[in-house]
Amino acid sequence: MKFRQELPDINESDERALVERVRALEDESGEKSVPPVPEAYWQNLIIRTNQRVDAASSGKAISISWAARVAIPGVVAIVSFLIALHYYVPLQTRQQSDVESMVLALPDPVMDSLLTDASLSDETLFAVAADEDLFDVPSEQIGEYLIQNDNAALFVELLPEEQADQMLDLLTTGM
Amino acid sequence: MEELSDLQLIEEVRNGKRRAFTELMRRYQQRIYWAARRIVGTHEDADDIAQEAFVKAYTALGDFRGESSFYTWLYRIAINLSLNAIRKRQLVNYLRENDTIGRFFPSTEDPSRQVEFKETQSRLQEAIARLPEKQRAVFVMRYYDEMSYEEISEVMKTSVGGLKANYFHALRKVREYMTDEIPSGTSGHQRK
Repeated sequence: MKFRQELPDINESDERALVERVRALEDESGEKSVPPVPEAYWQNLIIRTNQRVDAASSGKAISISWAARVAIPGVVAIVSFLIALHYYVPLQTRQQSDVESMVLALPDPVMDSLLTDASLSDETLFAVAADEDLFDVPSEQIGEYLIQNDNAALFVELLPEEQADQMLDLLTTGM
Repeated sequence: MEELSDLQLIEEVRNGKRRAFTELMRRYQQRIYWAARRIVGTHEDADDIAQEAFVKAYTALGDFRGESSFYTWLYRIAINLSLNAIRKRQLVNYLRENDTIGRFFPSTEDPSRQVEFKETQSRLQEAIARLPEKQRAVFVMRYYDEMSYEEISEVMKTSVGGLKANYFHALRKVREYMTDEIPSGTSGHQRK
């Protein structure tokens, strides 16, 4: 069972007497109950309170904090990756396609000349059939080669005697 | 703007005029600050409570029905914040004294500052600090702000009779502390 304490019957005069006593004691001590506050504090308090009100009412406090710590770095990372992906991969393909398209656009003679190795231009390439013996070069071709290269004496030396006589007859008859 | 009533200013604030709220702050910030200061005892806590009271008032302005005056409503917010601050401090002190968190979370307060605070506190402030939190709040409102019991009843949501008893007991305790009297439950009292 809970006993409820009866409230004392307090009249206004008793209360007033007590209040006066406490105030007198406060005056007697000569102390300020609370140190004073400089006047500039109040203006500063208004400014700081307004700042708090702005932060609380706009609802940006939490979102800004979250954005700074999580969202912004994350978005930057993703965007950077996508940009790098967009530019890096297509670049190689584009280069290849550019070179390829340029080459394909060349005229056939130019293409053929490019396919010929320029460093071997002093030598005559003999086109032979696939089934022929590469070392069995026809004598006519050898003859043409020697004559073109100012080596007629060697050509004559290499001619069989009978062919040499026939050639000499042709040359003297034509004169 | 200084000629507008509180209700008119509130209406202006609801219409988006922040200057009206700044005017309300200008009117009541000192009284709110000092009420908090006398209850919690430190400037830092009172400064924080004063700001927080206005922030809460601003964000809850839509709920203000005008059943009480704006000042009473605001004052109630400040008193509740002050009492919460006292409870938190008591809990922290209890845990520290019982060495529950003291080992792991040593006090961040400067010990020299604590001593300084005690030394500069007046005897009356010391007496008030010893009152239970509700008695302390009633004492501050009646003794310093000279609020009527009806106004205090609106703030504390307590009956007028209970408030009278609270205040009377608080006055006696303060008087006894300031005169070094031995507390007595009877009508007579003796000096130490």
